[in-house]
Amino acid sequence: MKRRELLKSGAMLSVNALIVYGFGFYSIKTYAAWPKHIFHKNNIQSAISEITGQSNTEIQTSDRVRIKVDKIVEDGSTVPVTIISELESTKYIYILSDKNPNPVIARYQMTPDISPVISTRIKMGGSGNIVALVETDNTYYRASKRIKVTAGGCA
Amino acid sequence: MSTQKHKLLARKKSDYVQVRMLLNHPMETGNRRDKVTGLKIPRFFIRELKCEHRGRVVLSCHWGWGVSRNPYLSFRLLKGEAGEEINITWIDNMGQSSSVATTIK
Repeated sequence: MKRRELLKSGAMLSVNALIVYGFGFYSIKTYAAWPKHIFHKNNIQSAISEITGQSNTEIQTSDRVRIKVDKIVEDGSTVPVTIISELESTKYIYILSDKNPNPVIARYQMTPDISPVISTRIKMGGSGNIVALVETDNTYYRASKRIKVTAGGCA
Repeated sequence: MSTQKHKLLARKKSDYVQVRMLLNHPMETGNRRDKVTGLKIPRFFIRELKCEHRGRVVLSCHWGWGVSRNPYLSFRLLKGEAGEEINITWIDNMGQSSSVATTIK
């Protein structure tokens, strides 16, 4: 009797799992593609070249891309960051941190309905650089800022 | 923690609408270990988030696990009027989706 119940519950579990994962897969498909390849890069050079197709040094630094963040932060698990792009036709804003195991943190797809001023909170593995990459109609621009973190937050 | 609600506020300023959002999500990196068992805590994060206004997507976000726990986001909507609705929907890497809505004040 016990064995029977066990078998039954096992069968039910696997059916449930199938439904959950099946549905999960379906609903992910209905969204636009999440760029898996950039989020899994494990150093900032390869992440930048994956995004832009150019090397780190080839990308122009622009003072019209600004990063607003405190120079010294106490807690690396919540670092408030504001990215401001004054470039015309900003299409994407990327936020990266070179001290994280996976440097790409977020990508924001802009539309003409909003102004390119984005604030968020990110994790930083330790003191390092925050890099903002901006994609406009035909080219990429970057800006970076060095941050001192007194306690890491990306274990 | 799941009892805590998501927060979404939209305030009309002189020439834009300030939208601010605070979600309730653990945003696990997948690199942390449980202090008691020593096992890795599985990666669990919001992958995609969309902000809609007047039936159009005004901002779409693709996130990794580097976004902080209980994600915060704020942006400026250029053509919003008081009384209009703003919708934010998201989906995490486990395929669970959820949403929050507010009206511009």
